[in-house]
Amino acid sequence: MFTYSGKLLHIDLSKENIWEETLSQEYVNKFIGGRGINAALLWKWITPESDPLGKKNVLIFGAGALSGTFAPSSGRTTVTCKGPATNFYLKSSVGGHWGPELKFAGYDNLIVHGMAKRPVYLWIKDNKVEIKDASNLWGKDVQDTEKYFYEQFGNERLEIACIGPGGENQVKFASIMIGHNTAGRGGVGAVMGSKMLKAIVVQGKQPIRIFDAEKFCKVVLKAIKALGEFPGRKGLSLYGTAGLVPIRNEMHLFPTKNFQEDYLEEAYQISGQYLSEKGFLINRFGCSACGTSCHRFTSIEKGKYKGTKSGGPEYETVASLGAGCGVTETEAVLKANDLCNRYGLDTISTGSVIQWAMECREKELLSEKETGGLDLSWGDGEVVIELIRKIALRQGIGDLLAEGVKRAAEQIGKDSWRWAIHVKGLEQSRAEVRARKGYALALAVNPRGPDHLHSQVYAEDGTTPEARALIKKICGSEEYASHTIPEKRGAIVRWHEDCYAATDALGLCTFVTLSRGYLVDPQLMSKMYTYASGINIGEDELLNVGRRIITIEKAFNVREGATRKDDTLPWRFMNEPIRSGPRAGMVTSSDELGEMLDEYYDLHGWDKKTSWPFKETLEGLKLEEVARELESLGKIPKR
Amino acid sequence: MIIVQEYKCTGCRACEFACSFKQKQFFHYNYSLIRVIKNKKMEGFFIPILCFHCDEMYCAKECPTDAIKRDSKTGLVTLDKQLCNGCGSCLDLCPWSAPIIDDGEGVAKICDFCQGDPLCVKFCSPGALLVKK
Repeated sequence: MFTYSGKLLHIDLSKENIWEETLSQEYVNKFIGGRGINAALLWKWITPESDPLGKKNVLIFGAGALSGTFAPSSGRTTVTCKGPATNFYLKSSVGGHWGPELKFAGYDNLIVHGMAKRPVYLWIKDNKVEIKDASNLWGKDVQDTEKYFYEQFGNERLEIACIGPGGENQVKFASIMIGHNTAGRGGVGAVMGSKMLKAIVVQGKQPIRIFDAEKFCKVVLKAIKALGEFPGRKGLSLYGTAGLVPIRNEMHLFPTKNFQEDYLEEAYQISGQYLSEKGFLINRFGCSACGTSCHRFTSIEKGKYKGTKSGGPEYETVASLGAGCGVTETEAVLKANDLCNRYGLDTISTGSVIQWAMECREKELLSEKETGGLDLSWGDGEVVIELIRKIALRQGIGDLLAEGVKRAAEQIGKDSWRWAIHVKGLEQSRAEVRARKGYALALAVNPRGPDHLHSQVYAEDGTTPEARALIKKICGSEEYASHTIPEKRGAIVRWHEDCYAATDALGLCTFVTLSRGYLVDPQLMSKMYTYASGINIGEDELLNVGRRIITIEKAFNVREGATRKDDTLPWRFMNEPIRSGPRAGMVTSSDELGEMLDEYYDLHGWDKKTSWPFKETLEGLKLEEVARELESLGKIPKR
Repeated sequence: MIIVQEYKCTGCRACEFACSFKQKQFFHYNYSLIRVIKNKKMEGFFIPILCFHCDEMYCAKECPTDAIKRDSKTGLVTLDKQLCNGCGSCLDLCPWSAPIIDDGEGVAKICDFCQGDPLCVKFCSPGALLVKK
């Protein structure tokens, strides 16, 4: 089987049972790989209404179909499970080199079932799989855990996916760390912690073979050349994602103080440019076969946070732990980022719960007694750092915040839910969507909750000729390349969803396939996949696979009880206008969102009342089994 | 020659993929004649290692079959696969452990500069690898 390893690995931690499954041609044809095959496996292996932190949840790791090759930025791995933050579908995408190594070890996907009785780690080397005792590692942070494995096995080619105390303590937004990269969103680390699985260490020497070497090499070199010539990519290389801070801030689209403001006077101090100019940036890190190398490695050489060293920070991190909490002290933000990485916590959700708590304190919904004597004033970096510790270890108020904003707001009561910036239970990425209508819709319908790595609709901004050309292709006119208008947003979001899903299935990074330049477009993606796999697939069919993936993810949520009311936005964005800047006064009202949802559901062939897919829609996408099961549950809408 | 500007290396390993592809038409770093290692003295940095075609030719010093020589025209160090018995003395003596032993073929290999058109350089987007003719 070209470009694949050809096998899936199952590990049942309850029964200490390990078995292999041949990667079926049907899975490959229908879902390609990575996120796609993971979604199909999740549908198959989860019993509806299972506890996400119970033994019936499965934790699935999937390498992309092109991972382990030199296709540009092709090393992304998808982690999939039922999400503890939302009780719905969850996938978390991560870069680095772990996915390619899993394929070298002989497996495209890894499915972890059950729950161990004691802390364990998995050692996967060349088709040899062992469940090993990890009692001595339980309680260790991520860096110490990695250090242990490097010392133990004496080989720097190990690829390690592990959790820190955040995952062990089942913080609802705990991450899985892969080196300096993070599968951050939705609490995949909590699921791993609930299974008492500390780490998965992989190493292998099985090469990845491809179908047509000459053509594959040629098309990849073409893609690399196009990427190298694109100016936007240079900025990303130089300053990382945090290089977006100054421009977002100038546009008054930089969420500050829990989205109360969208402009921060001292924002430059937490920008990628500043980190570079002031010597905090040590080096840029590249994920597998990624010349863009947007990831950072930063350190602090002097002062009270001396010795801080970590991957990142990303835009989302400085926006959430920094601006969102009103913190502009560079060192404090770097320290907070470092702590999240060591404890294994998602920086977006961690910042989000802290700023929610700060706003509750400001509005006197939280007393100083409840905060354990901590003064939760805006902008105090030390308080943020202290709260990160408390959250990871579930101490004091940290235990409440570790549940995420939705559950914390339910506990505090009163009006605190209004400032809880989440949908479905997942804290939202730091995107101002009162002014960006397509983005607002994308976040509302996102099956894992409001997150940017699922369907960020860059094209609606119309900031590049490529973006405007794409809008014309989708909507028939370039006029729709404006993010403040709600018309045609359904079509724009749907196209992006398809393309994101195809990108994730191939294991590519969305920075090369989407992101302003749209350089590795579906046509180029389909060519790369065809030459690599020998499976002839065109642009339209590739996007259709994307649609199938989106639809089975939606179906998963329907099976778990989701309806139209779950596709919404945080209260603040629908009711509280932007306060300053060129977009002052804008909200994405409930009515406006409703109209966009109607268009979106219609285009998908989903029922407008319930949001559920019609039977013909599922069958048209060859998801007959899904249709049958939903029908048996009475969850197929009537015409 | 391939010039390495190691401070520009981001550890993406595209060069390893390119080289193993060039050698074997498949992908695995074990077959790459260039490999990227972590800089143990400076955390966060990487070092691409490949044959620097050095003047000393440590690799040839104990080669039992005289398989390693310097090409008088190009000045490059070359390894004759027909003569090599795969003993690995070249790898042991090279201060950078630059040669590899190809498991499948049972012989040592060193970077031959792709006959003047190295593929690894084409794939090195960060610009850590340069060709100097």
